[in-house]
Amino acid sequence: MGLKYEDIKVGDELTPYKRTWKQEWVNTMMEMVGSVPNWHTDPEQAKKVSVWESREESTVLPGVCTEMATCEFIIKWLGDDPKPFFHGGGIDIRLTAPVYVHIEKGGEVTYTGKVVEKDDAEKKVICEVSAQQDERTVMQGKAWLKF
Amino acid sequence: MPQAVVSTIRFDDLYKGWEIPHYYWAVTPNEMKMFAQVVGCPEPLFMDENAAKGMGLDTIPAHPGFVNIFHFECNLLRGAHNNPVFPTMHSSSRVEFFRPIYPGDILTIKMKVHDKIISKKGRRFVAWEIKLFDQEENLIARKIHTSMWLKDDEAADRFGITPGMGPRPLY
Repeated sequence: MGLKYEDIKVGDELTPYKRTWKQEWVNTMMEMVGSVPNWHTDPEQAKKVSVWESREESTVLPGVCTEMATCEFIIKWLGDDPKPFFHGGGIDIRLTAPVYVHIEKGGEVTYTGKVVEKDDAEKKVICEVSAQQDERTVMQGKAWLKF
Repeated sequence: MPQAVVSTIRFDDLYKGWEIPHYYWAVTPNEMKMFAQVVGCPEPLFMDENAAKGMGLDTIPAHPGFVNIFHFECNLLRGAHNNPVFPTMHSSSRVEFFRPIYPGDILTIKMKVHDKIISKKGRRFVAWEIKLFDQEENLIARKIHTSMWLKDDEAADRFGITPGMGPRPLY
């Protein structure tokens, strides 16, 4: 059952979305881009490039992966009708801290959000969204849907 | 593997409005499904035509991240100029979707420097505007992709890259 505009209220919490990123996926993506090795695939390079603390045996997730997962989060919240996202939806996010990916265990991120505005004239819903890894906020921003 | 000796595109080389030659992509269902698998999201929506139709779409849509397959900036810049870019870090994204990317779409990707920003702390950012058009010239997605570009001294400290140097080992 897809979420309907009428069912959504300002203040509603979006269903949290947990995503574990695996190093092998990142490696494949980077191979596709033709950009290896780099700090997304090599823990030693991640240590060198990071302006933040680095973690042992860990790389830093490409920002586009956080972007992709934010889209997945919104689509999943919509249930069986993703059209409000694909037809007029979007995201506007800032990457506020690195997402660490352990080369064997991966990196788990939780995406959360809530509805902050409804525009009845446009049938548009605006949400605040964020993502956390180990209680650090790694992404903040907003997402919108057009019904 | 020997690398070609080419100069590196640098922050100072870029200017607002500079546009990369247009890029074209014919979308196939297999690569769409492969992409969803590669990013760890092989959901029925992206893999199964019946599931997608059941959700009100014409057929399977590309995973939203598919827009990025074209415009990892290092890839596109390098593809356009055979020229590695200076180290950058993705800092923000704004993505607007006007309709899904479907199998059979023939996309034209237009990418240009949307803005150059130097923060109060001296951090340097480049915002790229990337627009995807379909075969009928309809805009189907627009993205503003902003990255921080390392300063020369940071790059020298971390990677041994100095102004005017040729190839670097990272990309």
